[in-house]
Amino acid sequence: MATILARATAPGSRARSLPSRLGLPFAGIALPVLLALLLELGAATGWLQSRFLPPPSRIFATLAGLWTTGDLAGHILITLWRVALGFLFGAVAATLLGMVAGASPLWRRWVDPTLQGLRSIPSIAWVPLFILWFGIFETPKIVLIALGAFFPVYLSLSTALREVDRKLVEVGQVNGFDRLTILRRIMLPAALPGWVVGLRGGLALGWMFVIAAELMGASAGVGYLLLDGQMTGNAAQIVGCLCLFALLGRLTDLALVMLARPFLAWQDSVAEREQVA
Amino acid sequence: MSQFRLEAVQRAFGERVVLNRLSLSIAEGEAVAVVGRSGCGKSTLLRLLAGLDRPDMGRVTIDGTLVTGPRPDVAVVFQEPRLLPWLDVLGNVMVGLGGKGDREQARQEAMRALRRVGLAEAAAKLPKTLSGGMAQRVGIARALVRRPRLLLLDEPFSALDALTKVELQGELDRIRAEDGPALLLVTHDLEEAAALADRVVVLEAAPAGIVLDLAIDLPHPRNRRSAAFQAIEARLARTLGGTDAAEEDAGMERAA
Repeated sequence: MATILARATAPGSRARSLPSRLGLPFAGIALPVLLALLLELGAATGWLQSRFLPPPSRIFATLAGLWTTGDLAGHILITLWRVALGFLFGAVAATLLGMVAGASPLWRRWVDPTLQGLRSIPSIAWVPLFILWFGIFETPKIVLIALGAFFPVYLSLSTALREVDRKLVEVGQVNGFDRLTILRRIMLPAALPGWVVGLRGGLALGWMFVIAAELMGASAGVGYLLLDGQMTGNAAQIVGCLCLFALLGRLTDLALVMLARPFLAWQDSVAEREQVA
Repeated sequence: MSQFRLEAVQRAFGERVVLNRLSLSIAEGEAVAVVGRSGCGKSTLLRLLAGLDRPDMGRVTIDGTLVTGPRPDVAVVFQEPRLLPWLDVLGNVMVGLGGKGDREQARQEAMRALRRVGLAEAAAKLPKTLSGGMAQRVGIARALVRRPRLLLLDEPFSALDALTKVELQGELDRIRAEDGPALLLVTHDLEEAAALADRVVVLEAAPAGIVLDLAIDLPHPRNRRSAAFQAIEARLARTLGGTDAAEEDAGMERAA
């Protein structure tokens, strides 16, 4: 009896509450699946015009057709490559300059306002200039994506560094850390969560900018496929490409979160608690 | 001879003068407690000695040398433990060694400091898993590992429950007896001041000046139930109450 009671009250064996049960691993895809079913039903009953809004079955068939010819994999790979390269360049540059901005009031006074001004230029506005500077091949595309990834990372890291708790910095000071050691051992670790948020934002913008990049005269890539769908009036191909962008964006974001998780295990945040629960 | 000195220091924040030509000296190995109401400038005084702040006027010296920043022979235990949350307990104690020198030796010294505060088994734990008392013990270990000549404590036990507080006060008393660093304890707890200090300094409200500098000649560890101890505590309370009454009178006069 005592064993039964102990088991019933042990934290690990508690019956899971309804909200907890609703938070199942696949809960996130429930809504898209429901939407797909409704669209399929709408198309089957003639309630929706499938010429403009094709049912998921037709989208899937279009993508499957492209996959079997090997075209789709090639388009996905080239887009992934562009995003990865652009994101890498943008994030590295933003991290270095974000560190300088976070640590140097001089930089914040003299350089930061110009960078903030450049940030408000819409992505598409850069395209003519980049074509003029770098031609129409890979370089302008990578530069455009790098530019998109740059600003969220730069802004998040420089802000996170400026907002590091003064009390933690004092711990370094009273224990004899020099300025560089305080930056390396206190400010950067403390700014890590903000940097990761910036990386996620940068990656998301990288995916947005890749469309602009692939619309500027690409002959391959998911963005090119999207444009091709528009030219040929193939709504299934267009919606399929949109779904691909959503899927690839989500998967790369998830990969980034998984990569960052071990380095953020120290956080005593609501999100961390939810993962434990 | 006094080694740690504040000489006629004045410190203001904007219009508000917090310390007004205050002088205080602490001898090598002496334990001084500074008591006073919240906002009377106790922590400012401690920050000046820690080298985290500078006086507008006056001098802060150690062995006659002007304090211009944090020094290796001075350690601070803050009101909140201020542990670096991304480091485990051992890593946090190693921070006390300034991140310099041989890493293995630093690890061993940090482990020794952890054993002294009874936390050797928690070395690999992250700060988020510690109780308030454990976290403050780590803060003390981080200060002790520096082998300081002057240990500054800024209301280190104020956020702890009564039992943990008495336990940690006992540990601090024992550590001081073993290592013998000079100690400046800022607190608003009169019993704590009387239990740990050789001298208790009572500050009036800001701009702070010293209204009482009382030597306590009782053996350590102190018996808090003894008549002598309670008489000292009562005297401190009377002095502090007197400054409160004077402030109230002054406030009423101003209001009138």
